[in-house]
Amino acid sequence: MVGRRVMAKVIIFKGNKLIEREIKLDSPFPLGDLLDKIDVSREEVGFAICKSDFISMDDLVNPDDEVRIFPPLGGG
Amino acid sequence: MPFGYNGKVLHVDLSSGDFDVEDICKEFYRTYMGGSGLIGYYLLKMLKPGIDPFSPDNVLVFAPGVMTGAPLGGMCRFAVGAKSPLTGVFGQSEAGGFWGPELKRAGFDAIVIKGKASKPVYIYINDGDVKICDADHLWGKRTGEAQDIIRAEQNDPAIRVAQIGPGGENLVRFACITNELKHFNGRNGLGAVMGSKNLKAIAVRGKRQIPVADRQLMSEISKEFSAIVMENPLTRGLYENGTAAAVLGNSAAGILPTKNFHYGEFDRAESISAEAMNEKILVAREGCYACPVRCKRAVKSERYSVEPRFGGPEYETLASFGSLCLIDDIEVIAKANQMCNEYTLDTISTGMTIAFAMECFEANILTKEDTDGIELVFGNKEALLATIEKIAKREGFGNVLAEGSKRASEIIGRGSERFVLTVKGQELPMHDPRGKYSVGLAYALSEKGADHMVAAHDTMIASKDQFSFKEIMPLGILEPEKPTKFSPLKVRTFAYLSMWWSFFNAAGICDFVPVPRSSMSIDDVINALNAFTGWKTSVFEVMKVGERALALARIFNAREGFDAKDDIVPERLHGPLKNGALKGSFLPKEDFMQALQLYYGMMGWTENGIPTKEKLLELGLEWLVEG
Repeated sequence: MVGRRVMAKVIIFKGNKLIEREIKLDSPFPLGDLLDKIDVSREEVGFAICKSDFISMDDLVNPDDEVRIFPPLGGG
Repeated sequence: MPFGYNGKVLHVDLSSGDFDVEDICKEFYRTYMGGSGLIGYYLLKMLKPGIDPFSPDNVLVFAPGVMTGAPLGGMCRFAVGAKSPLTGVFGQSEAGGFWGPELKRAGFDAIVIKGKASKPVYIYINDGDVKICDADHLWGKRTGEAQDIIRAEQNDPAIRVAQIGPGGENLVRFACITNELKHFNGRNGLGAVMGSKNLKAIAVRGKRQIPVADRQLMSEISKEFSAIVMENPLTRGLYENGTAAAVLGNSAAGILPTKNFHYGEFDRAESISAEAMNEKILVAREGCYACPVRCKRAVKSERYSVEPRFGGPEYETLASFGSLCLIDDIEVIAKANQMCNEYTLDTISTGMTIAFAMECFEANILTKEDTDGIELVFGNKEALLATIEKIAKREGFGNVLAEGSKRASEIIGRGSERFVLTVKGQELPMHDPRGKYSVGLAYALSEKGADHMVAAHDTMIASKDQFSFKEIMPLGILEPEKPTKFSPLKVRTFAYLSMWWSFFNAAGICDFVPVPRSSMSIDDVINALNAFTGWKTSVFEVMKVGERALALARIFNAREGFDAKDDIVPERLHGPLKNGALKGSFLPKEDFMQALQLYYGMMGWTENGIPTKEKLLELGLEWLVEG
């Protein structure tokens, strides 16, 4: 049986732009490992949102999820 | 001779035209430092409860902090305080720029003003000499022209002018104070207090050097900070994109206030973003006194006659005139910003009050008959600009909106109160607490009414792998908390950081310099304070200064009858976000109320949100208990 391969969408807010990446996933994957896979340093990530909720580096991203990645954002 | 400060506070009585100088001891500065701490002290000592904020009995305090004027980035801030005509309680608002350092170089650590001049005046301070000058010829003039005239008639182009425009003169309840035409004590309507006293401006010139206790150490800290500004992504981002960078980020995160807080994502956010500003209207990146971060913008638009001398819109302004009112033209926002700067109106409250009126118009509570023929619908650019003009001049319907959205709603009636988004009468800033719960606590608890500059936002310190979070661990914050969760950890983190932020205010430090919002370490902040003053202070001592300033303001508000019942946020925030990445997220009411109670307990306040006698004594405020 062939495993389901679906694209997870990662939207990264960096500098002044939103950068979209699509990543093939066979199965749920920890966010931290996903970031390693696309060369995004965990130290640059302030927070991540998926399915209307904040997620941590250990939370799983599903193959058809959209994840948004941000640097720290504050007020002022 | 003290280091870092002058030991002198100038007192001015505008009714009599007299002034005198109060000598202040070192212990006072270590206890209150300046800013909101000093303001709280004088307001509690000099004001009787219940006075009309527009009466001569109100006291207006201009207060830099102990660090203001230090030769180091970010040490430029000063606060202005009085009883606020917008909220009716403790009014206080900070600004950057150059005016605060100039006042200290002119020989004073603060100015305390009472009474009311019989005709328009301005105060001119030149290296310790004080004059009260006629301002009849300046009254009614916008800020640019007034500054030019003051500098010309005093024959000194380097004079720093803090002033009001027609908005302050006309007692618009959210009028601000500007210095150098582009830095603002924006909130709480303190420009209207100046107007009520017939005080057009305070012009300052100081040529003295402020003595530094350890110049070598100060120089080392300054060099180190300047070196990391372009390396650290937070400070580099502030330089490259200013605060405007948050427009696109917050929209993508679903927490950009849109259409009067109905939505969290603006589908045209890119058109009002930092990138749009950089491409279309930016002419210069500017900064405040001695600061290498240079987060300020200067913009130009020929289409709308926008001039760089009035600066450029910050994030709060881009959102309040942009996404909040569904305006997607950055040149129109730049024009609205300049109008507010020339008239001295707070851009947050102006945008929020107009968005309130737009929602009333959409709901047919208001019609063109009420708005002097203006089609006040969301997205109408010309209506936005026309309404700002009317507010500043208190013309027609503008006279209603000049009261602020809460009072305007009371005048309009017809169910309009459900569109008002204020805390203690002050309009919400451009951050949606439904995606960052600490901001909800900040809005509710701030003694000044809704304020976003009370503590770090959750989204700044949400990841334990990230620099901003790791750098605040010395404060005893060892684990991050999810932005949308209330817990003892969340409340404790907020409590500690509210003290840290309150210390910035009292010391005159911009929050775009220290961690977690920026890159100067906690150790370097304390070392810089010691290098400037010659003290041997500590994190413990400065956190107590911050906590003390919060308690003073809280006691001021309690005297005016404000307590836990006033620590609430608008009902709309307890309902779900209607779109965006955090669609459905809301501020759970019961958890929110429990978090407030937990905060009171952690701070040593009663269940009614008032500092206990024991807490006041612990903070060394015996005079409040005895008095």
